[in-house]
Amino acid sequence: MSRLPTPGEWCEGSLCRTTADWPFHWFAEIAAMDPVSGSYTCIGTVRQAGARRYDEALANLRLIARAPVMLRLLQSVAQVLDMSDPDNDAFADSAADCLDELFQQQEPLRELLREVGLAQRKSHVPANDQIGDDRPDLTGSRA
Amino acid sequence: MRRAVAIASIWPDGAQAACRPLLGIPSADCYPTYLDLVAAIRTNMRRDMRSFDPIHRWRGTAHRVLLRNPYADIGLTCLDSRAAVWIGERIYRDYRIRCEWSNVSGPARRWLASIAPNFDAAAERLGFAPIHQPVDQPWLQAA
Repeated sequence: MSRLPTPGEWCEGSLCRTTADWPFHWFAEIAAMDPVSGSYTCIGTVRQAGARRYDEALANLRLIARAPVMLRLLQSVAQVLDMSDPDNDAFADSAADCLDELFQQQEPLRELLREVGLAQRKSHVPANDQIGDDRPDLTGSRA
Repeated sequence: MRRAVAIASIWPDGAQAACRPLLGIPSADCYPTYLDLVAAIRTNMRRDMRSFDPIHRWRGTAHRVLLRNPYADIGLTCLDSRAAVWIGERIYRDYRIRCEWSNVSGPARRWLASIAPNFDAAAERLGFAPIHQPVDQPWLQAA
């Protein structure tokens, strides 16, 4: 059984309400764009309690959508730890080499922190925002 | 006479489709290219078939519905480095319930057959090659 996540870059859709009045839930879709296989597929819908503030729910959603990037960074850090471990086959007897490996991850790491940070940033263009001036559909139904 | 093209289907069963390859696109341009394609399909298909309204839904995880009218959906599927634009009868729950209470499916299929040349022409203008699938049931062809 495969334990790998859906391949490709994940992107989140608009954060919408399930209904216009209370009680409601926040929901948003996450899709995967895989340049290798040339595919664009739906991963699923994230649903959060409506009692959460909008910005908090949005931050949660962005964190979930950045999961593959976080996984890649964790794998890189684990690789550096292996390089630092004398008992490991990948051991490299050079602090400079280990540091160099870490520095290679600096850009994606800072980009990730910037994206999920509290500072305002320009939103990623969501897949379901291409309808134009139409108001977002609140039903969240499929097919 | 239409020539049957042997091609692995990436579009929904029973839908009329047109295909084009998605090759040679740099990774960074994949998502903008996809968004442009979605916008072009919505604009051009509506120019020829004005009864369709923009919508965002998924059929399963791969087939994205972009436009909908009372009878049919127009969608886009991107898989295996190919993009397929397709038109097919609506399948979602409320429509199926309507089909149980009245004869909606018959007129929908007749309408789809009548609109097929328009769809092919619109798809060709977008750079998609229409796919003419072989008829699986000879009795249907004879009828």
